Amino acid sequence: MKIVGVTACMTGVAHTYMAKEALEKEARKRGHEVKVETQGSMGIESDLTQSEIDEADVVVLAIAIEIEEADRFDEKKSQGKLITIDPSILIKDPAKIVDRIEQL
Amino acid sequence: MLITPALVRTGREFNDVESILDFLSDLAVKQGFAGSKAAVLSGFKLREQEGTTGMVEGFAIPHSQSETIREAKIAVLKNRADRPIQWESLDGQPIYTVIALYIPSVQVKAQHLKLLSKIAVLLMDSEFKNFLKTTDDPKLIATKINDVAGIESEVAGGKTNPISNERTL
Repeated sequence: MKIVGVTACMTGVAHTYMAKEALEKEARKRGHEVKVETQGSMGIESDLTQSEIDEADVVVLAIAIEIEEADRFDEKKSQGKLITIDPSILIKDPAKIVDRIEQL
Repeated sequence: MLITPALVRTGREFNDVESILDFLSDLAVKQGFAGSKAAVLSGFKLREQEGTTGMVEGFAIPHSQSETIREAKIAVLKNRADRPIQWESLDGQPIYTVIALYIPSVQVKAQHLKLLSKIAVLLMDSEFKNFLKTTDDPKLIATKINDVAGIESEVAGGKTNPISNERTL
């Protein structure tokens, strides 16, 4: 499946990037396509385009703060294809989150 | 350089988060890259209040962001194997190894923040975690971290090693 996500934490230096790594590693291990945008202290990187979001089966927001352009995900949210969690949950147990993604 | 052997302290006997954050704040001032111990400390505490930085497998990654911090730096503290630190963690396990990130908040080059992020991400690599768990020599730890961050290492008696951006663990 196609998974996209955004990670963002308070300081924007550690957990943002750890959560990205955790999701990408676990998703790729299972053969999923994955792209994760980071909104951290280096600004927004690996920006998700609207078409990438539209094509995704599931969106994961691993965020501890409000993110920029959150309305890009409104449609996925209304379709019930959006998961919002704290970045640390993703870092702690990425397998569990990807299980949830696969069951949506 | 991101870390020097003086910023690596092993075989310690810390009991709790407070004493560690205090030590780390003091260290930053004594090592000359921060002006105010109180400001560094309040940065660490503010971050812990937002959610513990105790991770999994005995590692914690406290960070302080403050204008008093002049350079992006990392410090490593390791407690003795028989001295677990009481620190709330994601997996409920006690902490033994602390990787502290010192983050300047003004006019810092994004590249420097990137190095800190790189080390944080490495904490999810089992080989790197094993290295930290099993190594107590401050020089080896500092060299390894600078190497993986892709920074020229000068800790071995002033000798310089080639920059190794592509070196993997």
